[in-house]
Amino acid sequence: MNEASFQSFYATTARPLRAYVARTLGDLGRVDDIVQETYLRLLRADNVPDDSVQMRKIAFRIASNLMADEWRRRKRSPLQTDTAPEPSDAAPDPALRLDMMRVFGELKPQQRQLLWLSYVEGADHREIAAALGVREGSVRVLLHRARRKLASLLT
Amino acid sequence: MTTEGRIDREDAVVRQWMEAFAAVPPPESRLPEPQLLWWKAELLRRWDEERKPIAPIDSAEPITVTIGIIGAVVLMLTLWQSAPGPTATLIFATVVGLVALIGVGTMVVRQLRH
Repeated sequence: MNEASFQSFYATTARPLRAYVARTLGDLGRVDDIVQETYLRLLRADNVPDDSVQMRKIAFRIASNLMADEWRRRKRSPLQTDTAPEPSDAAPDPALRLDMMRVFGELKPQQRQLLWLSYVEGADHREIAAALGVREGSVRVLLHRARRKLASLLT
Repeated sequence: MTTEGRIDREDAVVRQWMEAFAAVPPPESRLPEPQLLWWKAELLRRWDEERKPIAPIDSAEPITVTIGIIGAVVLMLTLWQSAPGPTATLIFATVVGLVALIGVGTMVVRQLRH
């Protein structure tokens, strides 16, 4: 990949990748660090395909792994607890926005990832399995549980 | 309601909610420009390349230190058994000192490298 193609790839992926990390991580202070690290790892990786669709999948996989590392680190360090995603100042209705963040924060980290990848990114089970490092057969069950939990919180 | 009906309803509720949630603008970005990321990655790649030749030395370092310490202890035990009293104490002190020196030296080198 050359600099121009990276810039073009960045232009199309930075926003969705950042949204994924911001909404599922639950700690705004680390969002940009994780997104930045994702791109750096992608650029340093060997045998990265030139196909931007494949590269996008790899970027989401790297970001998912980095978030999993972050959650593991927080588990080890009791001072840094997993919190609900924080609200954004730019959204139109602060109360509604805060409510949405709280509801999503009620889910387990992996459930947030599953739902985001499935409903926002439109990833299929195989792609979700690759991004989260779980078996393809497990995605169906995990997604079903996550969907059910979110539906129960909403109704 | 049937199970399938319930799943469809849940799916519709969740889909609608996720779409609304995704529409909420994310917080302000502090991400660096792509050019900066590119050059940072370039520097890291060069650093990776430079470190490649010394990687085997790095990985062999703990083995070398372990062998050194074991060797020193074996030497100490051998000499201790064959030497008279005061000489044995001297040997013991020398070998313990050497082992400590190897340990401290390794730690200092590691700190300087990182």
